[in-house]
Amino acid sequence: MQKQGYMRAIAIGGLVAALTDSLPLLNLLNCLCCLGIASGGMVTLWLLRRQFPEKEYFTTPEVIHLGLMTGLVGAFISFALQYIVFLMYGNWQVQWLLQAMDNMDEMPPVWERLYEELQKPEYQGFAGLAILIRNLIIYPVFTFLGALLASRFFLRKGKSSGNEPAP
Amino acid sequence: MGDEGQSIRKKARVQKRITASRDEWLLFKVLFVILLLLNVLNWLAPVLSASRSLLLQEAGAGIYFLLDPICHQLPDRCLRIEHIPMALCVRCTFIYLGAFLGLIVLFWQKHLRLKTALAVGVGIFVGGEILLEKFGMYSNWPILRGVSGFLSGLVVVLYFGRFTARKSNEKNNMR
Repeated sequence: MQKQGYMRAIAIGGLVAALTDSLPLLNLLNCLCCLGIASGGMVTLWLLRRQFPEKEYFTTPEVIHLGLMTGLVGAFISFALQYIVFLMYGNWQVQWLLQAMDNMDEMPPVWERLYEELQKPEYQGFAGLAILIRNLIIYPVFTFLGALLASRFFLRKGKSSGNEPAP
Repeated sequence: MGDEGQSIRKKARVQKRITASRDEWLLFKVLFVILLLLNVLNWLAPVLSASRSLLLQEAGAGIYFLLDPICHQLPDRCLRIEHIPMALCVRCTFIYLGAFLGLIVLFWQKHLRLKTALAVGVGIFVGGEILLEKFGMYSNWPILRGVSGFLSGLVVVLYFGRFTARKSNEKNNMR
């Protein structure tokens, strides 16, 4: 029962992280220091705190474990969602980058080469493996940071209400 | 008896020392590595991209791709090294720099506690700066973005980070 609760919280947190990265307008949240992906870790901890109110605080190994698990789940869900978005809208991220480069007043020579490269047919496809590897690196880091912030916030909240946990 | 008590008090002193628990050390090391890597990769990306070696250029492109989810990477909002934009925008660059320095400061001054009022004040300043830019009061002022990013990163680490105060008995022989 307890394990089910943990897995559910991790799954929901992973889903939140994935949605904020994969959906075209919602991913603007990640411009604020990956807040969208980090929010997945925060959601996981918040759900667990609601589920186990007797648990006053989370230890560092617990926060690392929860953050990493949320990130891994989120990475795979995000990969699937990004593929679905690609099927619907094509490689919108490359188009966005090309547009940003078009708006530059002055483009360095190296970026001119990149600009030409990005218009080739091979960059219009879905960079599946590269996206998955990137997700597997970035997601666990930022969901862990989100979980850490949430645990520290709960710790401060607990301290201010007079329930300071033992170190 | 009085003299003996005074002598004991002079000879032995109980100090309240701030030391880190094992959990806190683990956390510090993990955060140190993450923030150091983020900062190094951000600064390394344009340097590698400017290299003459194709392999290093590809590595630089890989860093831009890796850090793509965490920043909009708009070229006109990034600092440049060798005329090439960095992997993160000005604000993000200074957020992670501020956070890294905040971690170093916290390790060095473990007793440091940031007041909530100060943290809220910085939050209002940063929020105001972002909103003023959104509403067109000014546009693309990198110094201000850098300052607000630096303060954000620094304050978040100093406000939420803490080392637990522990009492330790320490005998100091005093004259």
